[in-house]
Amino acid sequence: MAIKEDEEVRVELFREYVRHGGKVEATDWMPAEYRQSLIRFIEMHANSELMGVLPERDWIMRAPTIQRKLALTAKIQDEAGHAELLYRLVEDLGKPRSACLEDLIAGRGKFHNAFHYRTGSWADIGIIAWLVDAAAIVSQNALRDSSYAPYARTMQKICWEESFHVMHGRDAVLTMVNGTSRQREMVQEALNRWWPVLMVFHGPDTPPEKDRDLQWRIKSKTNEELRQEFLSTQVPRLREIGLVIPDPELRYDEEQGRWLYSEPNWDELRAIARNQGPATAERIAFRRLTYEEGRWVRDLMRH
Amino acid sequence: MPEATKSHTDVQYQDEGEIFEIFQQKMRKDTAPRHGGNLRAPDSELALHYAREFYGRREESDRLWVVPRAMLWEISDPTQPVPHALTGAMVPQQDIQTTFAVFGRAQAGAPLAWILDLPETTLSGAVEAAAQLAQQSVPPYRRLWLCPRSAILELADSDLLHPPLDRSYRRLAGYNIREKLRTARQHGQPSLQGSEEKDDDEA
Repeated sequence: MAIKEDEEVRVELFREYVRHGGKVEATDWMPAEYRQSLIRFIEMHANSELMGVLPERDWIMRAPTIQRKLALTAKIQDEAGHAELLYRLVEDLGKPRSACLEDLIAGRGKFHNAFHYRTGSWADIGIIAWLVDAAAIVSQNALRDSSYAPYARTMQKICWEESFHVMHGRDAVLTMVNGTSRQREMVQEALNRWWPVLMVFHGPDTPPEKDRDLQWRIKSKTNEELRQEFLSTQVPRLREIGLVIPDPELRYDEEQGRWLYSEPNWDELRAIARNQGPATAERIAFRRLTYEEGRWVRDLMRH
Repeated sequence: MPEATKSHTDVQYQDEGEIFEIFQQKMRKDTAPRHGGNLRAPDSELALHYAREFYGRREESDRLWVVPRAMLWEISDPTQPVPHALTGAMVPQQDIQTTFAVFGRAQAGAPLAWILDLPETTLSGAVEAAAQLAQQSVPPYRRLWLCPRSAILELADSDLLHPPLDRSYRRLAGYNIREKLRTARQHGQPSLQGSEEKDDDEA
């Protein structure tokens, strides 16, 4: 009984420590619940980096110029590298990379909603690189304050590379906007497809006291704060080049000091969280295929 | 390592190779190698290649250090200098005939950076000297890592760490969007929108 109480006191002290900005290293003691929350959070991040390359991979052979093709393959290598760094963090917390990958290809792993959809045209690749990566940077910048210091440090490098991706995407979109009217239509259609996806990207407006990751300071900002930050930066950038955001309710309310918008489709996000999105099955199947095809390399490396 | 490791130690999850800790000295930014993170590799040769890809690709470096985690000790509190092996699989101390490299951080959460090489050739001697140094420094170092100097694999070849080829795709053709943005903004001006469409259809 006394031991159990000691444990509770220790967890409470840890909670106070991280609440006041304390940093935790991989070799430090941490409560089991904190460890499990970190594994779940960072594993999903790693899976997202790995699954995020698949929609873009589809466009390597169809990229309009050799420069776009090189930029796209460089972006894909970045994302795969991010996945590796993040799986290492998960592994140090106690779950091996191969266990994460086996969960992923068995359909038990989670990854970000944006990567459960199909792409329609080259304009989608520009919109994804610009806006999905910009949405990700907003989250990842906030993670630089994470209580888990190895994660916060890894985010420095990841944010630096994501900023190239945003430039690459915005450059591709601007090029099309300056092109023919058909190219501008393609960009507008891509924005129409991806806007609803972006509006749920940061997750539902969960109250801070119910958000366990926030309580542990694994992340430092609420979902809604991140979404507002994303809208404040990107809405003017979209509007200034004549793109129409497909939400008639979207406006900045001066009195409330926040963006108002139509209620996003949370049911679709919930379906995706169960791995039942529009392209989920084919993406996981493709990942399974490449995992099996690479088995001989892993076997060779073990000996 | 942590308690949670126990739940995943089944044979089916034996990943290949071992863990290497990576230190990077960024070109023009760092004066000493700083800890960047780690990677898993089958051997030290591949670890060097991976380190270059993961850490040196988008940011040119003057130096990359690759250290097997099995060769690192941590002192989490220099006022009570007890060295803990970063991993269980440990090289016997008496086999080490080398000086020791010391890494430290003064500020919580910051990456560990190389401080100096100590002349001591035993772990206990190095731990004592490092702990003393940590407390005498202003501000004092709060956490230290030690490794035998001979365990550090160094890549400092500028041909590999900042070749022109890498720099060319870092900013492919440049992303200077100023001119493009100025043109694109014209589409955002309501008065121009209708007529712009016509121009393009004629073209």
